[in-house]
Amino acid sequence: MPNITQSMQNLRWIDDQSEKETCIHSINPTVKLIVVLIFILLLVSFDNYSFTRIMPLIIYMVVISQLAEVSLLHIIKLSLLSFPLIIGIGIFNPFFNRETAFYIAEIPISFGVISFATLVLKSLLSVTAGLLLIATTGINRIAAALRTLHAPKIFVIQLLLTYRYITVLMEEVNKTLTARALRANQNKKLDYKSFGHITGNILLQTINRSSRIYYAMKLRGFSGDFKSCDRENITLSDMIYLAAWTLFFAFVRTTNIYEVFGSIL
Amino acid sequence: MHMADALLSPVVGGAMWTASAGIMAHSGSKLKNGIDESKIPLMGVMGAFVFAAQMINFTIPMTGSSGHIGGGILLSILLGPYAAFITLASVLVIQALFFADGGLLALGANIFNMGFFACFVVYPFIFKPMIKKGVTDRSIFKASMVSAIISLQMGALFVVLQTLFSGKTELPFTAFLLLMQPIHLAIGIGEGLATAATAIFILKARPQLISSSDLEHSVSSFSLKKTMGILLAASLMIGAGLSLFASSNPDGLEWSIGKIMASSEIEVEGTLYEKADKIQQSTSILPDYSFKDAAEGSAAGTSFSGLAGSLTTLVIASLTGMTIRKFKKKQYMKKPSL
Repeated sequence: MPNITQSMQNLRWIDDQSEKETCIHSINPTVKLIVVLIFILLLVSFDNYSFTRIMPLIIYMVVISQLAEVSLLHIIKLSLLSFPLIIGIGIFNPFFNRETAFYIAEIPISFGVISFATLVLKSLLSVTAGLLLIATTGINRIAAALRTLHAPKIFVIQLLLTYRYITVLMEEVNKTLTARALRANQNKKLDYKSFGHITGNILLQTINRSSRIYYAMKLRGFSGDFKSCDRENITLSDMIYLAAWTLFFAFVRTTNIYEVFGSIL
Repeated sequence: MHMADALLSPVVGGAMWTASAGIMAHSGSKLKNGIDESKIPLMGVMGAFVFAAQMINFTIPMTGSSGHIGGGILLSILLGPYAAFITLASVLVIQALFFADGGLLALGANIFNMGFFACFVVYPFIFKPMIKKGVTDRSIFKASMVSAIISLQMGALFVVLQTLFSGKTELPFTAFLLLMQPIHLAIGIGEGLATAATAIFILKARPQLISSSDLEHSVSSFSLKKTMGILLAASLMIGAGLSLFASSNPDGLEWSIGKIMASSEIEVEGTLYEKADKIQQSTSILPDYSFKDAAEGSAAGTSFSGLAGSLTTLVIASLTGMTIRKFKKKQYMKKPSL
């Protein structure tokens, strides 16, 4: 988990991206969500040694990011946060599977190395796909898509409320930690004794805040549901988007593109 | 620690999605009948609190490592298990979408690993009995420590099982377990200390928040047996359904069985198995794509075409990107300025 300022910057960056008006942003959120889920399912359905088979899926990332005018490099930078677990688990593959698969300029490449590389590529692609989805859709439209897919109403409300208050509470935490640091002299690290007081106080403030929010919501006519999630109709361009990507994914899954290119060359 | 998409097979990922969606629907229906409307914003801000409070780390004395709250146990204490599960799930969705923690397919596994055990196993069967005799600093401390450690251990064990059943690591089961469990023991101790410190502060500052919630939130109507039965049935259905579409390479369960039994398949006899096998082979939409098999045949040839093909794919992806960018630039140039 990155530090607070960094997290707030990331959230704002993604929010800003989702405000853009491009052809990708205008696609129905449910359709986009379905396409991303198909993409991820297809991605993980490849076996552990399919590095080259997965590579054509990079085209999906490039096309979406370019059409949506979202920096792919920045998205990749954000996705690197998910790497510690993948590297922690995958790094053992080259040690446990040393059988040589092939040679590159007399350097033996083992199956373990291939499976590790495949794992890293799979992780990069799946996380990037998720980040591109939210950066081109925004949380409100994702919530609407979840309602269309019959996710429980209370869960969708929670998702929106939690998201709305994350920045508020992160600012609160940041303020509190800064205030402590300014008064802590040389004691930069938070000790256990102070920890309970700090989190406990923030928690109590949070609970008080929730009752203020409840009264404010009630005064504005809240009756247990959010009215902001308007459903969007599926248009012809949504259907084309779904069909085009499904066909591309089916093609990648059934054809050895790298062998075709390789044999041509 | 969050599970990642790349560590899951479609079958395991799908099964975990079904399990988590089932628990979510169950929790949703429970709350629908009994929730006080004013609790809805409380759940929302509590989710945000857990998210933000995870960024407050304290140093664990004499270890040099740090700890922070996990959320599952603390949310269960303050909101009850059903509301806690839904709140935690929304936090995990936001972490997956915005912070690349886990992934969309792994969401089901993450919600299950971090939410189900903490809210529906550890809280009712460990935490609550431990504070039954009296809500004191001491009992809260002990209960928080034990609960955090056990829920983290259960979650870590499931990460190991899910990864092994997905066949995504070459690590043997025991080695993987020995790697994951001690790490999560340390994280669990940190989380337990953090949960205890926060809960004890609340107990002193506003005791009614803990004692009233403890009396109010009964999970007696939650049948563990029934839920586990439904989850098992759903997982089997999804597993069986999706495996028709999955590759027939030794991955997933077959892989782990292979590791354990030194043979990739359980040998079964009988006409029913043979028929089922034939049907499975004829209906498998996705054929066998093993780079390993191809490499075993003609390693050198395949490696060259593979390299050349990969390079060409990268060139095509870059060219596509550049073309779209140029096209977009031209469109902007054409637009009249206001």
